Amino acid sequence: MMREFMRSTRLSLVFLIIFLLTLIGQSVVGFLYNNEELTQHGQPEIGYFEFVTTSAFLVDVAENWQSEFLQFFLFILATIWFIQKGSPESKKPGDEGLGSDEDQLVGSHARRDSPRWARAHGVRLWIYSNSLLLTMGAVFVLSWFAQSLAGHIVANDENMQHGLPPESWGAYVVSAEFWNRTLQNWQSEFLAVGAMVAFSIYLRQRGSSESKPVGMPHHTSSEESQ
Amino acid sequence: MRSAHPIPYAAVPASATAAAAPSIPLRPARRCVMLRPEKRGGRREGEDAVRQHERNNRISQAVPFWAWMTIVVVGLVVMIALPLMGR
Repeated sequence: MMREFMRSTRLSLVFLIIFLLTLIGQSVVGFLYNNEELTQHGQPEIGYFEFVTTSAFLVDVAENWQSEFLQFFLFILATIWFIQKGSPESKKPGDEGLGSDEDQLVGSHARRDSPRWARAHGVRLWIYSNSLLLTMGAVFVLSWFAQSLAGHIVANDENMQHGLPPESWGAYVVSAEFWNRTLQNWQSEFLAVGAMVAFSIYLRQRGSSESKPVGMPHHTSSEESQ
Repeated sequence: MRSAHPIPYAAVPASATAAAAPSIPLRPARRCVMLRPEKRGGRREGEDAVRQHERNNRISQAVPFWAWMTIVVVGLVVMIALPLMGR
């Protein structure tokens, strides 16, 4: 049973391990870099556990989280309405929109093994029908808010070191520094998504669910090939 | 050549077999009826196996979902709470 469990959850498990290793790696090199900077400014070094609970570390984590969740939020939203012919990431032309209840297996069209909320009506069905987008959007907003809080503290620390007055949170979220941190992450996410959508029209990866079958014509989306 | 049977039938006296055999009255042969799976407990076993399989499936889907959801929620709480505490 354990072997079967490990086999059926390997994809999320592998990414969980990679995530934890890279987060630990980021915290270690961030700690070393932070202490280098403190030494250069003639300030005492801080310990590892003190560093990972400071805004200096948290702002770097949060700014990457928000951009990743924004990327998926927008991608999920955009793929409802927009089509890219030939991309396995897209529905086929003509399928734009939310789809019929019959296609979506909701309400009276739900199957016996459909999720309970897919058989519901009204608000519960609406929430469940949009639960992925709502969750990704909520995590994006909250991690962006976290970035602004942590970034605000870091910015005021720097202001203090340079003998400048502290600024309010409201002033920080419209500052060039906040938007520099934000937009440098956003552009890279949109680049990766756009490139993936376009590259996957002509390029293939045999065996990957993110690719069309190798022999599938370029103009065919993966949904059409099923 | 070794015999397939340890004692050849011919070597066993008829009296010995008669003495060894308990005196069980012979019953008329019954027609051999294959019990239906549900009577033998087969369907129940089958249903149990299916139920167990579905349960395993649910667990294998629920564990990664809740593991990742926990990471995200704990991460957000930490990243919001610590700066609010002035860290």
